[in-house]
Amino acid sequence: MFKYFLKRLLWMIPIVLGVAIITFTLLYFTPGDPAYIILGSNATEVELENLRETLGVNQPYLVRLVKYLGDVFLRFDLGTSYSTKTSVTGELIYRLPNTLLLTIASLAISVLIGLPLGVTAAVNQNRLGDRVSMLLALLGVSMPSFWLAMLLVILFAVKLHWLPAMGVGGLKYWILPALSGSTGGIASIARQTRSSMLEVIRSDYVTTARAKGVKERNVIYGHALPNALIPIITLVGTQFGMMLGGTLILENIFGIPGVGSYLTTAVSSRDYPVVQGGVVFLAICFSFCMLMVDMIYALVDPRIKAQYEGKKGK
Amino acid sequence: MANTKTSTAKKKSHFRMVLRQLKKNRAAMIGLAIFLVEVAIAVFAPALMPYGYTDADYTALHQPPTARHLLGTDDMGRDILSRLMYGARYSLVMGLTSTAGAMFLGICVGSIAGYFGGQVDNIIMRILDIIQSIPGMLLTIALAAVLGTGVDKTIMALSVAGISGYARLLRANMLNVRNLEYIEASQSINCSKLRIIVSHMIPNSISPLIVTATMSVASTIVLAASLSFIGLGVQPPSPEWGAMLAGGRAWIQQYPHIVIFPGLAIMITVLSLNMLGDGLRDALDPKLKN
Repeated sequence: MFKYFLKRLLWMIPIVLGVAIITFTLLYFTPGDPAYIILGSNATEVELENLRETLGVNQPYLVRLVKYLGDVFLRFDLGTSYSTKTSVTGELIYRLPNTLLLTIASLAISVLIGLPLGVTAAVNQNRLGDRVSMLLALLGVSMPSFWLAMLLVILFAVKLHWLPAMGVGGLKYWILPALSGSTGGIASIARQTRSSMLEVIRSDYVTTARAKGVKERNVIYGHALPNALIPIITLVGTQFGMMLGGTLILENIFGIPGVGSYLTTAVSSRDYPVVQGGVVFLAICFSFCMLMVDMIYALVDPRIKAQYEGKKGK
Repeated sequence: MANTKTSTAKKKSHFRMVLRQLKKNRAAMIGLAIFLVEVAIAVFAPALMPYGYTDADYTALHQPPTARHLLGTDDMGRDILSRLMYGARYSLVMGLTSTAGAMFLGICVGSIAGYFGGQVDNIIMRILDIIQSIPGMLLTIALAAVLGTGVDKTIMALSVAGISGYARLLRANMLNVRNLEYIEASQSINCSKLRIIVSHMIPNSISPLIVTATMSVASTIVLAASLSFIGLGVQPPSPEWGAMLAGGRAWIQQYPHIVIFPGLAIMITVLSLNMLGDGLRDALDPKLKN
């Protein structure tokens, strides 16, 4: 088991390096002179040249790449923002909790609602409960989260005045963002749960459990669900990435100072160190979450565990 | 000659079977109908629109739905219905071409990995691993930052961001097909590699990609609208639905109808494609249907 985790952890190194290289290379080819972006149109040619020298942007690609990778992985320095002249790493670390909180809250809501919804649908296959929950799921998958966010703001903030429309603060500020971030997840999780539950629900061990007189509730949640969990966990993992992406947009709507609003402002003001740093940073966070998903896999599914322990024994 | 005849006959019957299955699925047919109506609206928009999509009527700003303006007017007095009808062109073109682009590029990459296997496969798959560890929206934002704004740039960004999913799927299917007898047979009669890949392997491993593509037209439309919404895709004066939503945001307190209708248009489009995609999946792979 330990060997599996270690192997998976080591595999993170090339992934993270690769992400940094790809992002750097992408933005390297972006048109536009950084010195010009910083100094504006009033700068003289000498000033521009001096700044290019200080920034090191007139050096060849490989030299800059190696320097960038060194900065990122040895000094944890993602660069300095063109517009605010502050450290990108510092700003990202300051903003990350907001983004993560929103993403995790959305994910938690999705699992808490989506899973029971899917189970209900599978247990009542082709009956009213199934039809209604699958219709809701279809609507949920099709609704763009940023539009839902605006609808929720119109209803709960503008018309009913129950919740604040934007900003950060106590719990009530997070309700609307988390709710709008979770619909897509609720719907996908419900659909996946339904189909993988339907696959296991007719297996012999479920029939056996019923024949033994195990309570129906226990049959569903104790025998069937754990065996249907693997594809659901995979989906929850990928949903995390989707929600992280969705959060980037929701932050703009709700005025949450997170990584997403930082990144989108940076793109429009062509603040490339921020874009580059933000992408690398979020990709690293995302990879760590996927690592955790893989570990949960191994813990949930004794077959995977056994496979690795079996190998160790050989 | 006889050989090709039997093969087309067989293909046709499989295609017919899928079609028959699909026809029986009421939800899928409704989805298809809605989608076709929308395509028709987009194509004939100039003839159908009650007003021009840029015509500003300064005597009728922010009007809620009335008989004159069925879906109301926006902050410049432009007719929302007309703008939505014309805007369907943007969403459909971006959704369809980016998906086609992503699928084409994905097929190229995936078939190279799937056919050659070994080291080539290994390198391609590791690169895809890296690309996939960047969440899709984030990758699209980064690509949009590099390429810039506008319809063509957005299509490019969305196509490139979508490659890895298709490549992976095709490769997995090709690995299954690769060792079958008919591939060995075509190798033994000295077919070129390109011919084996293009006319033998791809057709036999492409069907799961079609389902994914239908679904991803839907998600690509949402992604394109999201990009325009945050100001990275199509720019405001164009009646792109996401850009219209962004424009209406400032008026959300007083005139919510400006943001309700564009979002509804996106949702109906995406819903119809999802219904069609669900039906197509059930028809192509009856195993998945429970």
